[in-house]
Amino acid sequence: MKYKTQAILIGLFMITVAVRLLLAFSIPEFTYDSYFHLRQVEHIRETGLPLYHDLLSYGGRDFRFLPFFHYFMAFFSLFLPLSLVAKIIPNILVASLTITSYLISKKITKNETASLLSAMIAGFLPVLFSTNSFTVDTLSLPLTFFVIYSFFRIKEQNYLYAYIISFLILSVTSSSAFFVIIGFAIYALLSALEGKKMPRSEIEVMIFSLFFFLWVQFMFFKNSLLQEGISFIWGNTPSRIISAYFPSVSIAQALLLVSIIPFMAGVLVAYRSLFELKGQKSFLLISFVISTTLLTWLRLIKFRQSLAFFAVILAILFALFYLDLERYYKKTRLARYQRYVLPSLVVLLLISTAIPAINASLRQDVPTVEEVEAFKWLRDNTPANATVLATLHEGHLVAYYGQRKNLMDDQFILISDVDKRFSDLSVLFTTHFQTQAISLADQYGLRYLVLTPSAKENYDLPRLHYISSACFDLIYKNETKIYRTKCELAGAE
Amino acid sequence: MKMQIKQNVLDATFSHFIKHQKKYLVLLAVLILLLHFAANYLAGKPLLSGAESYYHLYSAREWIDFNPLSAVLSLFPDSVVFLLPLLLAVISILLLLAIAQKIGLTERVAFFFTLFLILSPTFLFAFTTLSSYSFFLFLVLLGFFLLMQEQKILRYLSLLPFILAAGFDIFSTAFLLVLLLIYRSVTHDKKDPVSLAGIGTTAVLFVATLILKFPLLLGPFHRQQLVSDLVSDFGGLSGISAFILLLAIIGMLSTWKKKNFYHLYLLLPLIIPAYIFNTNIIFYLSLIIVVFAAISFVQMFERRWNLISLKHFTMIILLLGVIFSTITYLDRFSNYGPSHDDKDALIWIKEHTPVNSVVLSAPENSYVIRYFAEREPLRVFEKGTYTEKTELAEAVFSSLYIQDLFPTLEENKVRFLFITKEMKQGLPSDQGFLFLLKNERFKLLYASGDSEVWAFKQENK
Repeated sequence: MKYKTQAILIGLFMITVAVRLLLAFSIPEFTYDSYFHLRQVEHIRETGLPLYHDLLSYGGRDFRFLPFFHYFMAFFSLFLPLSLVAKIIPNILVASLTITSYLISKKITKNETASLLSAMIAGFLPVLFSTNSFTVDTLSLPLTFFVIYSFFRIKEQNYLYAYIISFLILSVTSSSAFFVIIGFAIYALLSALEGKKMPRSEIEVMIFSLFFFLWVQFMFFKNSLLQEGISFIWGNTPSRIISAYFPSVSIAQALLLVSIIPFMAGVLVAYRSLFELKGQKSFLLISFVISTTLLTWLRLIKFRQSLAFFAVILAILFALFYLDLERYYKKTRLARYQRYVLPSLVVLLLISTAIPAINASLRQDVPTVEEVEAFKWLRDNTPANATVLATLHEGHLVAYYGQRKNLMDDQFILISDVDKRFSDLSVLFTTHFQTQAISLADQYGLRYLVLTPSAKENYDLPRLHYISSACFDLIYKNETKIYRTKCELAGAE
Repeated sequence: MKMQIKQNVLDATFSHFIKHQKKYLVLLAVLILLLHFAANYLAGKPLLSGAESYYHLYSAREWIDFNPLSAVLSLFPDSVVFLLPLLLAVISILLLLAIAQKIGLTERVAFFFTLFLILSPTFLFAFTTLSSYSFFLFLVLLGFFLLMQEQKILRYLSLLPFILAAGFDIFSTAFLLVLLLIYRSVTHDKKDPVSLAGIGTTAVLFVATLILKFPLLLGPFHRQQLVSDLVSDFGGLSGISAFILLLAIIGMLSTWKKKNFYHLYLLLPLIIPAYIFNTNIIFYLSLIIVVFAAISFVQMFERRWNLISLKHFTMIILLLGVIFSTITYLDRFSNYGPSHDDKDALIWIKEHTPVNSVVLSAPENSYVIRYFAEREPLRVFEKGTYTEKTELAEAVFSSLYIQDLFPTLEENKVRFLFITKEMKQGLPSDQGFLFLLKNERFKLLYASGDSEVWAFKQENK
């Protein structure tokens, strides 16, 4: 790599990190789902073990998840406060996609300029600009692309080991290693269809990856598989909200989150490549495009997860588009303006990626400071064994800040009555009947009800309809309101 | 050098097991099967689990729905019938290995095929219960073993197990017929009168099963789930390990264009649609899947890998994965009914209720009720009426209001209800059927652990 290219690449990486951190620290809180992971990291730091038996989630439950991310973050939290670790490390990890994208593009195109453009796009993809997200995806996504890069260079002994180690880590980090497996399967299928002989080392690592991944899944999720069967794939998500987690593909949303230029360019390259697969270096990437599209279409993976994966692949494929564009441009009468092409493209890409990215970051789904204060208030002013009603998203806030039991949160795995709970939770926010609400509150032992502005917006409510001073005390009065129940249905235990 | 030594150690270990495969495989099968029976014995459960066991025992006792297995069972006292599946397993394994040797299957493929088969939940289920499939497999293997002998008399004797194997259901007879046709086409001995006689006899019996309206397939004996019944790791009643399935897919891809295997592919169009129709076919399907898995495993084992340690690691993961699935299944299957409490409750029904009473319970319990309680269950998986009965049962168990439930119970003359632990786990307690038991017309008569007997008071009209 030339010194200049190296400097630009490092510069791109640093700029991405700087912008991400700036945005992350300008928003005080984390995304709703991050609080689950924060609790897990704290627990690992304190006890050395993940919280597989959680006394607060769903009022007490057992569950399983792949713990590498939490151990990884717990390690850093030994040296830095967790609130800093949770903002700095995930953003550095996601920003590292600039480097991986550059390396993969370079491997495919051998062109440094095209690869730098790919790196730039990968650094500012709107779908990845959830800067206050402390989730497993922030590690698994960069790791997945490092696995793919190592696979590209599998014939080199060092990269073979790099592949094995990174795949082992990925397998115990996230089930999204499934992307890689399915991508390999499509790759093998296309190779067979095209009569392309696959190198022996590739076949070996593919077989190893398949069985190792499967083995890890079985080790961790045995009970979930037995209890939920094939629904395990959907994480036992309640049927009423499954469409929100696995929606059918919306082109408009995809365009917005991937940003228009890389999306159009990537799709064009992928489409063209389908008809000239033989001997292509992008063969493997095209397989990943197909597998991601297929899995999303079949609703087998979460929409945002697949879009993030898809977006980075499209960013990498943009390098091919740039080469084609350059070649085509040289053949036209506009060739003399060629020196303006690159700067114009950079400006265009910046406008179409960076601005939506910053916008996406500023519009992240995070609780407000006032809402967080209300959940912290619960910790100091309610009995330790109290169960608190909050929305599905706020379930982790009840457990993390309030340190109280919640009715439910978005970790659905191994919850046998998840559909019923979700339905009851909705009823508790929307019903007009006090008896119905009290009956459900009795059933789940709910003694505190939290109504945040987000909950009001979510359910389109001015207030809880059934609240009356006879049965509910307003004990926290701010924008967020907390009620304590006083009544029980006659005959209730 | 180190790698070479490791490779040699692995090869030597496998070679030892392969050389003494008869001993090790039989020992493994006996140990696993005995473990299940011992677990049942220690838990005070009836030694035999599964609805099909009690279907055959009831048929043998009452001389109804007679089939070859019921006929054999009627010769044994009930206290020793649990030995029959064990005996069938041992003989089937020995026959399988002998046939593998006869047809020139490599020792490695034969070993891994038998090993994967023994470790498969389908095999464990079939040979720890009284299953028509285990008996069918034994008869077919015995038939082919005799057919492959040099002595003419032994070859003619093969007709006997073939005739018996054709006495279960239409599908099994068709399957046997296809196997015999494949055998004849593979042996290339067009003048062989015995295999021709076998084909002829089976063909005649096949027509007879159609004319005599034999069931297309025995069962079902449990609620069918297409995916879970295939992959045991998804919680199915039997099925195969996900590792074996994936190995088989790799095996199929690698043998796709090899002409030695096209006979196996021929069986798939027969078996796959049948499996979709009735998942009990998993037994036949798993036999084919295990063959491909064994081929795939041996190919991987024999292949020269660039990185020997990766090969070892993959092999170990594969074997651990298969063993893991088996252990998980055995652990789960040990809880499969009828339990000690179920048996006590059913005997209570037998001793304390009128002989002509109709008992309501889950369909899986139908034959257990008939066998232990000697009463007629409302829900029963019967040929022809399966859909109708299932719809009726669905209506009962999904009832939210007594206005829906009571007329159905009255119409079907239900007097008693037999509720098991599994039913309680599967049905919601705060609404629906279990919730309606709080009504005064239901009365708890007997409870043993989680098994309960309730009375339903019929309205005097």
